[in-house]
Amino acid sequence: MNLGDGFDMDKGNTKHLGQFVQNIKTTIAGVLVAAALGPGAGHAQTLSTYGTPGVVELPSAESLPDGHVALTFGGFGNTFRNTFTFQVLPRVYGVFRYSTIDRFGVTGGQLFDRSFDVHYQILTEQRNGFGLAIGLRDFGGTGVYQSEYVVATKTVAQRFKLTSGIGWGRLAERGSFSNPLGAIDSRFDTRPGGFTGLGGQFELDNWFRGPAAIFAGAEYMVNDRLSFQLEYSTDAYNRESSTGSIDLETPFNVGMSYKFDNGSRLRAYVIGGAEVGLQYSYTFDPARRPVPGGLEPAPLPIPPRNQAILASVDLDDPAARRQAEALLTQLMAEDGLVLQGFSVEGGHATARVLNQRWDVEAQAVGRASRAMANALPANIDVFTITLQQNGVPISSVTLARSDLEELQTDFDGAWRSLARAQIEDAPLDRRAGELPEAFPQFEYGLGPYTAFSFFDPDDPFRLEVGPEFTLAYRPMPGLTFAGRVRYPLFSTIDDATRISDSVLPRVRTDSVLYAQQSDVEIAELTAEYMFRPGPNLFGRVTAGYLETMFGGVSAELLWYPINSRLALGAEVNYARQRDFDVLFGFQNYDVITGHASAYYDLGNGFRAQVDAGRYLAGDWGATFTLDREFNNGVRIGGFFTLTDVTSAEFGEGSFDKGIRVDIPLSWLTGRPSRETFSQTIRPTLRDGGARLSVRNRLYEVTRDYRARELADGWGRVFR
Amino acid sequence: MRMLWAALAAVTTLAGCGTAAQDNGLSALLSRFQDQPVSARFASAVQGDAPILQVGFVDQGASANLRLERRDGAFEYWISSDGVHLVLEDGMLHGTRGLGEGLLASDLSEPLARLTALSEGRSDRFHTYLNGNDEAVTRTYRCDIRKTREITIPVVGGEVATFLFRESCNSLDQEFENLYWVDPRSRQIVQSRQWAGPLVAAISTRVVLE
Repeated sequence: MNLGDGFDMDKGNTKHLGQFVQNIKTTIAGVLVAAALGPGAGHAQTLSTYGTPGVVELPSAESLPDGHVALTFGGFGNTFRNTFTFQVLPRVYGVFRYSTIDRFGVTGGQLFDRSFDVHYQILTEQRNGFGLAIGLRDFGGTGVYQSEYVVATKTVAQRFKLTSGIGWGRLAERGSFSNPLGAIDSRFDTRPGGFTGLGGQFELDNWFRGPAAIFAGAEYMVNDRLSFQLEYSTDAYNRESSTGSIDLETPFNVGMSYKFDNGSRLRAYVIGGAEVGLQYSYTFDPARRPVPGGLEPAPLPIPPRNQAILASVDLDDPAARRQAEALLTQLMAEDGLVLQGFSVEGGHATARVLNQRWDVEAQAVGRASRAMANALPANIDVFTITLQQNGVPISSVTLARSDLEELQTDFDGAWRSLARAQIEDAPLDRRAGELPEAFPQFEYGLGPYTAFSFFDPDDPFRLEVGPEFTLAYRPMPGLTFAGRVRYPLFSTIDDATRISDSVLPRVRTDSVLYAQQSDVEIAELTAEYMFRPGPNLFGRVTAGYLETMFGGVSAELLWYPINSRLALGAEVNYARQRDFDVLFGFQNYDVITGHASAYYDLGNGFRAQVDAGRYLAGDWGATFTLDREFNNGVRIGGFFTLTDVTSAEFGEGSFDKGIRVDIPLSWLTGRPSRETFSQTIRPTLRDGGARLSVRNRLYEVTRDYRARELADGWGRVFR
Repeated sequence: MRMLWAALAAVTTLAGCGTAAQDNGLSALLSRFQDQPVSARFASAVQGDAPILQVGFVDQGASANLRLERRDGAFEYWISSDGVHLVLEDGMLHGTRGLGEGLLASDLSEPLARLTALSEGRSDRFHTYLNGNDEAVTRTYRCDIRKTREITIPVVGGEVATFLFRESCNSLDQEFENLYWVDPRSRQIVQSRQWAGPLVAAISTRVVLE
């Protein structure tokens, strides 16, 4: 019987074995990245030139698998479209698109267009039925792609997909007839057309109005990888044709799509018999970590308590106590945990722990409890791990030692252990059992930083790269002096030539001036005090240079019951605009700004947030945020802000809005890290609805430690 | 563009400097491509002359000698030089750590009872995996264990006469086959080929006689 590989028979030769396993792990990681990023079975759609499930250009009545993300890049002739599509709910997808169109409109200039779509699946295709969907393309923005549709799709003989629908707006430029909705209300007969003001508003007056047209398309799937598409499109490219930048010969579009192993697709197509295009798209599922089990070193096994290192010492003896603290400190340090306090009452030991490595707090709890089980005397029956941040206790988890011993090898151990764990608000006394070496705490770091600027019409993608030096000094729990100095070594942000035309106080639109006039930047220099005013309450006061554009004082209070879905916060700031050199000086503009905030965990991975108050430009209003957060930490959300600034005062885009994506580094690498790649993308960054940026807002600091999040990560407690 | 690469090169040399708890994302990403240090726990197991288990990763075509870090009753924790654990229960694969595969733990009472009794027949097993969304998911496999033949196999330190058992398992969407070479006198699994999960697939083990 062949085992499939030769064993290394040399008993003594262990030197290079690590590399073997390392190679395996790297291979596995690679294979899995490819596999995990592939789309789920049964949803093998072609993505249209608009980056959504469709035929060539037309939409179809299909969706992506729930939670999936599709990125599409492609273009033809004078048009290039980049699309981010997210299947927010099983029946709803949302789209953000950035397009460039050369020689557009009467002036013949280049058009840069940001557009949003939304699509709702009314019926999912069944064996004896068809799929039906309704959608809005470019419902905000400047309306270049503005169209609405109702579409049906039916799969025939497994290989053919037939799609037909009725379109309005841009999808009714060819073969149109008077709007059937006119029978309901004559207002549907005419489409006001165009867009109001500066774009970015919901053009409700236009939706489903004016002439309508019938479109149709078909797809033939040769096999799992290759498919052909043909469609009759009712989009005649009227505006582009009028400037001669595109000249279509037929209403028919054809395409050919090929799917690769990793889930990406390459597509070639011809629009109107005239324009040849290419497109690349990539679909992935954020709910699947490429490396599900992680590549971190294995935890210490939990020994029977009579085999713990200090099994028979008496912790009442001060020397033994110090020995236990030193051993615990060492074992925890090997797992990226800092022991900041240790106390014993009878058979109950409590460790105050700072987690510096694990992105899932439950895993930090598991590692800390393993260190305790390996070190502490046999007479200790109960462990409490109090998780601390900035020296402030946030939550406590209490575990019975016997449960750990029993459940570490139980096939249902994660769930049983959660059922038996006690998760509570941390005791308010910050210094009980504090280790003498815990404070002062001093940290520094030197590394690269990157900054991006999007959608400047002269250069839609600008970036800045340079070294960044961070420094933090914490003389006592909760009190932190922190600084962040950076030097832009390479920057295209300061090449921008557009000068702010804002009629509001220029609280954000002067960002180019900051980039141009700064050299070495003191990005932050603050004194911060974080504290616990009462049970389930958290407080923070921060003073200094709070962010690159503003300095001042910020005070915040958060109420966040340990088991609650709801948290409420209030923040008041005095902010003064900093000099463009990002050093010590200030300009004349100052403002009192602040918000009352409500945070609510809706369940099923959805989270809503409302912040109401006064913004940097002195405007009053509220920001609404909805995030879908996967259990593994990937987060995709959208937000918008409405304030008393009129759309004319606001400028291009009419009001502040955007999307936000967070991807934990551990998701990408399989190795533990508390780093997250975060990017907020706004179609336009203006001065209305702009919020002060302060580090360590309390909800984000505390949330991962509260019961709901701890429980969500409990699958990793024995990792 | 050359300026950009120069800037990137300059800043990446800074990667990983410092004591800050939360190091920069870019430097942490870069460290992924650096070799992992040899685990201190593995080194101390080598120093203590801990028992060796020869392990092969069948699909990946690689092998390694693991050292016994701890034995608690039926459970053995075998550690690799870079800190991976294979957890065996009486020689049967119970869990993995640090291997990418998320096998948290298993219930192997039925197949273990079969092998200990050197008997054939139906047996079920349960594997709990950590999935890519950090959820623990238990899967049930219906298995059939058959004794195929008697065979003497070479191991480090001598030869062992064994019974070869084949365990064929199915779930609704997965199937795999495990092989166990069992010493009929000690009832010990001397050599095996066992399926860890969809990611790593089969792992082979062989004891080294002391």
